[in-house]
Amino acid sequence: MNLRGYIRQSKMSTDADKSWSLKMVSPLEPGIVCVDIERMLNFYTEVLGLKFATDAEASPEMSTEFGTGPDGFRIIRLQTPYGERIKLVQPKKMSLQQSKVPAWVFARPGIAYLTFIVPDVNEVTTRLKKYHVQLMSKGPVEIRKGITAIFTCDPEGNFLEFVEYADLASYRPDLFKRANSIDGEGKISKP
Amino acid sequence: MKVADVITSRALSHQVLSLGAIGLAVVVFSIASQSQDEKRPASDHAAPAWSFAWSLKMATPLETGIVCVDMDRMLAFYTDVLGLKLVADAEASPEMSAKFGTTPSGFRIVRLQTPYGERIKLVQPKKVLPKQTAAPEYVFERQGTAYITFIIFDIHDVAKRLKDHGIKLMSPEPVEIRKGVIALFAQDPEGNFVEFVEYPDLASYRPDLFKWKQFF
Repeated sequence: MNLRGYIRQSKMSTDADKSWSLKMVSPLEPGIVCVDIERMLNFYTEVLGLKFATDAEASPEMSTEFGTGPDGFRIIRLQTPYGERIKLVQPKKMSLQQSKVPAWVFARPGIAYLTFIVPDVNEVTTRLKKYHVQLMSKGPVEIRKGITAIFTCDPEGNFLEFVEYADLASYRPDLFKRANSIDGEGKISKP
Repeated sequence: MKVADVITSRALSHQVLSLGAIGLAVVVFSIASQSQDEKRPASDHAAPAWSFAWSLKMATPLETGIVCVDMDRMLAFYTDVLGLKLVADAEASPEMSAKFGTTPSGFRIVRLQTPYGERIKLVQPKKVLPKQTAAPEYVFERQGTAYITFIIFDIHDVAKRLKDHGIKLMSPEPVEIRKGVIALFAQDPEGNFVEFVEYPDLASYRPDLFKWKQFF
């Protein structure tokens, strides 16, 4: 039986609505719409060290039908060291306005930030300071006991958070128990 | 002393000797590698020796933060419609949140987890509520971190689920965006874009995931 057949069969045996869940087959991918994709690419690869994966273009026809934009777009895929892909997108022709960076991170509604959980937040901060990346606090802040974090901005004002957990196993016990489920059952023990 | 005893004691002394040799080698090697480590700057400790370029070192999956106008409405969508799991619901004090640069009066944060293990955080600031912006006509008209993509098994299954729950879609049906790749954009209750993609040949899109036999 192929994979999809297996999933279909396993779905039939469960209560259709309540137990429905997304069945993900690869890591989550955030998408960032860019005003200047080259500047953004430079930041994410040179400063943060993400790996370049692909660079592609989409036609106006597809892009219109898909609801993304009337004139096509360019899409660059980057990969984090944990395996998620971050997509940088720049629509063709459309002139985008770069929004101002608000005084507070949570003043901007919507998908406002990405969080990287790192082993050493001070090391990352040193790196960001060296490249004159805008920080939202003077230095890393202890947000709870043993948790230190800092908010920063990418070149187009998108917020990035870096967090260090002293006790990672209590934050993510699931990662220390077993590998992630690929079939979407996602049984999670509460921390 | 019997012959057998002699043999055993000889074998034992051989074992002790060889163990000792191995132990010595380990000590020498660890001293050597330690002194090498000391020469390296402290910040490079976690990087493999062959890596020259600095890179982020991530300890857990990436997390996405969504600032909400109405937390409960958003929570209902992400848990009831998409089936993400609720893992934590916490509050932050005004002091911490002001110092942190997030918001002056504290906030509530709800953590959800995807079936692949990433966490999505729903955040609602206290008192100072963000103003909800109208969703643009096209997904890529909104500058910034505009969408999150779930790569899933069956796009038609997801599309049906979204339609059943009256979710706003950006195209009437899933669209074949490249040969065999079918995708659909939807909007969450606060106009954030969520994309769902089905790859017929996932191994060619993510060869790295197939190296370690993720599939049974």
